[in-house]
Amino acid sequence: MVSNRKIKGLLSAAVILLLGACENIIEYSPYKAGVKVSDSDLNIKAIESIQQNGTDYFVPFSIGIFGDTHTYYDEFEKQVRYFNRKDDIDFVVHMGDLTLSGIYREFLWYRDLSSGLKHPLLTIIGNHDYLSNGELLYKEMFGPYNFTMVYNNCLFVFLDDVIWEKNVEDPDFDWLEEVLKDSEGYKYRFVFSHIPPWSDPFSRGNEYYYNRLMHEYNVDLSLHGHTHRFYYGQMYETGPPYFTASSSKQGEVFFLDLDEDGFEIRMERF
Amino acid sequence: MFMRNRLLYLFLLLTLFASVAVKAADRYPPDDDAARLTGLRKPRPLIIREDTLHIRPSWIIPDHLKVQYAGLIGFMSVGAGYDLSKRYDATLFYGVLSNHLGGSSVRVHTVSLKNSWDLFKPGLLGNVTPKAGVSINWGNTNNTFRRLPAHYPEQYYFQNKVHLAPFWGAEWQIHLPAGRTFKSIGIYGEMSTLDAYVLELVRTKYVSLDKIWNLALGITLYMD
Repeated sequence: MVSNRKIKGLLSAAVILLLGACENIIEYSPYKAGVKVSDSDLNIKAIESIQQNGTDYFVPFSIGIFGDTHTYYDEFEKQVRYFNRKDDIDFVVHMGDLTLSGIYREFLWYRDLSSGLKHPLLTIIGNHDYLSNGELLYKEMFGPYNFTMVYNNCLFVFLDDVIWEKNVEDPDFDWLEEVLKDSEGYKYRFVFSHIPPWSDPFSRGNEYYYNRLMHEYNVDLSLHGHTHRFYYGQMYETGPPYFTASSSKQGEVFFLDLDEDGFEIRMERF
Repeated sequence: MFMRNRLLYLFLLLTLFASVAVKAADRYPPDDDAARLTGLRKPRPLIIREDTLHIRPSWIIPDHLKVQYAGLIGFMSVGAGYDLSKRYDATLFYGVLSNHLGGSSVRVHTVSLKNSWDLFKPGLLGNVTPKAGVSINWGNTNNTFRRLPAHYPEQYYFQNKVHLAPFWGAEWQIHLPAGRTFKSIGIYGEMSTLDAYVLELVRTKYVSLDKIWNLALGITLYMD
């Protein structure tokens, strides 16, 4: 017969072992916001590191694109490994929806997996990331919702166009127009946002207005996520081609290759 | 999705009904079973001048009070509950998490109903009682909802206000001398997780067992 003392001893040992093994052993709430300094302003830090290798004039380069990783963690891990096998990409863009419910642990899991990427990573916000306190967590972890970057004389515009979850009517078109003004000097202009204009949260008016801005300011390509499906084509009669990245579940990664004569979207399966 | 919500409501209602029913049945137990009476239901003498009144305290007074640190329901939480049977007790908690209390940049209020079962016969391990159960947590903060706001298409998101949190742990009970307000104090530690984490544990290889548990510590005061 096993004595009580032995059972208690075993139980305590099991508990102590488990405590040591668990990450983030103290968790006050799934809705907690507030990230560690080392996990903060990741986009700002990434832009600094990307621009260190940039030039004032155009030179051909490639970038990696993926998005809607949600909680498809195993596929997400494979995408990271796939990008790591490529030495010819200068940075990677995540097209938003890095979480399913915008909760604290999902942000930490994203941070954990994406930190395995050897290329600098820019992450834009998706509609799911606005749930719960995701709006705050995103800002703490990555920086401003809307931002721009100039790299090798190309303009990269990153727009937060989430509508329903913010309970607003329109994306910040004023900001978008402001940054696209006077952008003729750049070799290429790209706009990245999570939701494509033909998707449900956009009203017909907003869809039309978004494409008009793209057309008016000669944007070369409008890039999105949200639909979970790969699309690349001329969506409207006027305006640039549109691209949507698929979700991690589809087993695809994307590349944008730029050279003197133009650019192309390339899809590879892993 | 809505089916799942209904089941949750049903479970909640059943728990509440059970608590009321068990309490009502316990109210006037047979005299020969006096040993089963908890201190609360014992008539208490109250002496006013020369008259002695016997007062039977209301069943509404809780059997135990709890103070808990961490465990998904706030930085600190306080609760009160009933020992509804020999092995089952339920506690209603209110917990808070804020900038000052827990270092979160946003405030979260959580109300939770913790259902806890003793895993072994009382006394089997002396003063230590292993427990397990499930807590139903209502989180109140930004952008949480039970019902989707009207501007969304139907079933666009699953509700994100109520979560089930399974837990297991143990309590060490220290008996106090008779005649005090509290007959004993329990010190407990618990490992808990969340429905959303368990789902990813099942669905993915990445989320492993060591990624889903967290620790709560607390004190229970058992009323005499």
